Amino acid sequence: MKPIYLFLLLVALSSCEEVVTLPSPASDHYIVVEANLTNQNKAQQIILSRSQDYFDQTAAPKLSGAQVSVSDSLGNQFMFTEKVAASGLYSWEPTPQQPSIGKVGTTFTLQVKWQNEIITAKAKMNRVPAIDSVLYQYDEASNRQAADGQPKNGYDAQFYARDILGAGDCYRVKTYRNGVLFNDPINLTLAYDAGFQKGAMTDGLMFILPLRRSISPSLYQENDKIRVEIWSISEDEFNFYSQARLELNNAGLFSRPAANIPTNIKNTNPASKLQGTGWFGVSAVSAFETVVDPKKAKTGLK
Amino acid sequence: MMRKLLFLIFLLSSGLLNAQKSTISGYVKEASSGEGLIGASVYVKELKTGNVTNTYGFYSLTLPAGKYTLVFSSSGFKKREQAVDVAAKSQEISVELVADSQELAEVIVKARANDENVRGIEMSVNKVDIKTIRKIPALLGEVDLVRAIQLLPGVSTVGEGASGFNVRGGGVDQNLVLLDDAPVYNSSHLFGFFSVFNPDAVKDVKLFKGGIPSMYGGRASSILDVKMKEGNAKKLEVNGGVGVIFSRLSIEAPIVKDKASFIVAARRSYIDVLAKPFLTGNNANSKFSFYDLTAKVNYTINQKNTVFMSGYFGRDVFGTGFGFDWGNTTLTTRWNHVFSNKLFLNATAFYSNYDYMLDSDIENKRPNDAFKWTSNIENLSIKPDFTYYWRPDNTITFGGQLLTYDFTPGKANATSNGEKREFGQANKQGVEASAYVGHDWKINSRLTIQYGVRYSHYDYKSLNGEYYDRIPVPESTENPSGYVLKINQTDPNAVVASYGNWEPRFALNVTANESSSLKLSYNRLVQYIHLMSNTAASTPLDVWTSSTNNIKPQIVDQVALGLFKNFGPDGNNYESSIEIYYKDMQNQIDYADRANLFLNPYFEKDLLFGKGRAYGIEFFLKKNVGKLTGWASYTLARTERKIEGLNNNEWYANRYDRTHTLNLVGQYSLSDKWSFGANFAYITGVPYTVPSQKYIFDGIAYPQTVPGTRGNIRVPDYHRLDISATKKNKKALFGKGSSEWVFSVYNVYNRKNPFSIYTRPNEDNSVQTEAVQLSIIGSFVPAITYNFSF
Repeated sequence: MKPIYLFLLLVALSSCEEVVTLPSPASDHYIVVEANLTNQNKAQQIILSRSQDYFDQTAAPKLSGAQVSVSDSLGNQFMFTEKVAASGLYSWEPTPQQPSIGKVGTTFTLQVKWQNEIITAKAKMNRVPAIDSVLYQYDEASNRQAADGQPKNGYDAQFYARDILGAGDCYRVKTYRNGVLFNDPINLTLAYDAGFQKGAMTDGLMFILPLRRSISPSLYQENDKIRVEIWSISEDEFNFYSQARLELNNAGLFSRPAANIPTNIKNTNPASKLQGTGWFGVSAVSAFETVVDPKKAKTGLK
Repeated sequence: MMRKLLFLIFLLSSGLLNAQKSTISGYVKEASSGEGLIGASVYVKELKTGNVTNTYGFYSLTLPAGKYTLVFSSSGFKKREQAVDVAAKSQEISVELVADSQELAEVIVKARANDENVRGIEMSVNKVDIKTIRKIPALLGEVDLVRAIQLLPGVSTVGEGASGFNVRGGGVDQNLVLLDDAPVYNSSHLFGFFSVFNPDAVKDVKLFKGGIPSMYGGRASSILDVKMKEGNAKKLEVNGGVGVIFSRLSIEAPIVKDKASFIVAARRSYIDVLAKPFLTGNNANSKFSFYDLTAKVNYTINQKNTVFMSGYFGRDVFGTGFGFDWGNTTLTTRWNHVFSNKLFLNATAFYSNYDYMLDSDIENKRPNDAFKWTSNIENLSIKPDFTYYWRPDNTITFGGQLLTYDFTPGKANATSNGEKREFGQANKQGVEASAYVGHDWKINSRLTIQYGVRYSHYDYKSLNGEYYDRIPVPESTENPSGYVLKINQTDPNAVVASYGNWEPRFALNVTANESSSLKLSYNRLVQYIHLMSNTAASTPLDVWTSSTNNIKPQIVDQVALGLFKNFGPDGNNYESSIEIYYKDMQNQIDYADRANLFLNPYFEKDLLFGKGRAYGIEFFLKKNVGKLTGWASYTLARTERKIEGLNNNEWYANRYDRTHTLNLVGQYSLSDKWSFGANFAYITGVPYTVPSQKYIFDGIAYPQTVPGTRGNIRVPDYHRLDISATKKNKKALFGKGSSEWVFSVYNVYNRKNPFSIYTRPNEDNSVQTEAVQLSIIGSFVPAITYNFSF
């Protein structure tokens, strides 16, 4: 869909945007679960909060004093305890006996008891391919990379990985520069098999070029550390992030009608005024790290 | 079908002929160019009756034997009287009308405006003279037909820069846009900023919003009938212009004087040519241009036979390394034949195509990692239309159409690291066959009726034999529409779905007196093809799709009632009308969350169906004569839909719903040299949806939209003033012909008119939220255009 953005740029020559003040429509609040658990050997965290009116700019109210646990299909239970220093933040620490919460193929169930509400969610940990390499070449910034304050020249990187054979694998690609995640709404990179969408027949291919290049939202400089992670996600979670990305970037001549971002968080009491939203996901993660070295730069990548 | 038609012709021509009467027929043409005059009046003084010429300038009158005076007239032309002795033998009388002093007519419309708007059966119809369109101040000085019709009552758009237009609460895909009878699928260049019609090649524009005669069908809302010029049959004529966006040139000339002529008109945008020296690096190979070519030839074989051939080819091209282009192609051939002075045939055959192409690698630099996507819709059609001029007060029209649709909804080739994959939607085919009959009957001097019926039949074939059943399932993240598809296989040549519909049409005119009338109309329109578009403005990538076993044809019933009155010192100085309408729309399409409409063979799973309704009242006041001419229109309207599975199944306003629309259009002729134009528009903002809640996820404020809140805010009202001044020069290039300078300012008082309001996380702090108002044109836009003619 990249060309579309370029046309919008053309139209943007005369168009303009202004921030305006609007009242928030009145509505009920939601219990929000933010849980992105992984198979990695490190502390796993779940954040509980309450949603706010859309234009409420105060800090999101955290939900404290909940009982949070995750159980798996093998009978293991992981207790998440609230941090004393951070209300609403619940975590589980690995031990030598339990170095991680589990393996690919395991199904996990979340249970949260907070006041009179019982919230549940289910997720399965899917497989993830290894990243073969990250290559880069010295180049001028493209239109996409040439935002204000970004370098005009530098190293344009791509990662190489091949989708696992068998249709329906979904992934999220995360990129860190010197340990900092590219985390703007436009950096949300998702793959369905090796392509952008279901039905694109990209099963078993090398990740397609726009995905490979997604790790360079701006150009890298010498000695920058690039870390690329592929997180396996379920198709439902792919739909969750796809819709979120659409809603977060839904502007311009060709915007779509606002739609709800789906959720897998359920209140066991459907009559409660506080329903659940957010996502409970478990991912297997593969990663690749490299430090930009001009001597290792390639040519002819683009 | 043909045999039945011939039988009907036989019946009409044998049984109804009357020995004491005979027929006068012929063509009324413009003296300077030889172009047929549409809607010219042919009046029999003694009998106080008459008729008007058809689209080709043809008329026919059957009168009792006797001596009469025929008066030929048309607005802007000198009247012409001709004595005629009607005897047993039928006669051909063709005349040419001279424009009312060329210069004066251009400057001040002095001719008595005819009272066709009051006397005629037509209601909810707007004829816009191309000369009037030229005088309306235009965006960047580019005379634009579609933008001009947006100033008429009952016509609106979703916003500035959006392609197409909405008529009386209908969607952009519900307008049948005809260029010399061939449908044009995308009437816009550069999204929606300019329309594809070259004003130098357009002769006549007519918009039917209601009371649609039985000869038209195929779309649910309106017919925009654009007729191309035939080309000057008398002498060489060259028109052209240089504007900010386009340069135009048209040439018309006789091939055989008064017998055959042609016109060729071309336009090209040239921003890219001007920008070239400033583009460097990655942008050096940027392409962005749009162009169109319009051509027509005609040949009058004899008084009974005329043939026309016309074509259009237009394209928008964009790209920097990747390429994206789209465009329409049409080709029309017509044969006018006069059978018996009373029976007129226009036989049309046309081809129309709309296609687009997207290529990630037009320069073929990386064949191992490329993406190419093509899509098109193609029509072939034959269409005989007969008019039988039975008596001056009785005209019968009948005919039919066979129309084939070939859909290539989308094919893609993706190559990653040298491995190639193909995907997309299978080709589809549709055949629409229709037949109609209509009768115009002036019952007496007070009462005229027009009634008719059209029968349309549609067959859908899925060319790979695959078709789908929608099976209801609980709504889920994976199935937001609440349906999954069961895939069935049949013979690729088998008809998967078939539909047949009767489309009754009726119109009534009760004339109270010389200057006022009451009109009533009802029509049913059926539409078998649908534009899959889920964006605020339709994009060039949107796909036209066929009715299938799941997608039912759209059926719209409309009732309209109107009051028409002319007044002023000469009786017709001012035209006024008030019309109210109500529309009921069946089988309307909307889209489930995350609907994937592109390259997805299973998109039928993502569709939701429901009904729509639209109603409104339109006021129109037009001043036809004098130094100051123009019109005022005001529309109060509502358009809504109710879709199973959206907005808690409650009614919600369509995104092009506009409560109030006020348009003022004025033109003032100061002298032979200077004239001025101005228009003002005031339009209620469109509905938009703002999320109710937000929550923080991954450090970003995610929006939460609550069901049942669709259209919970309105974008602020839109208003705009445009002005123009035209200076006419006596001489054009090399001392020949004439020329003019047009100075215009669009959006004079520099208003940032909002197109939409959307919400987003703050760029610097993504847990904070903000609402942003987007204006497509954010400032005033001045322009200069130079036009010449010789």
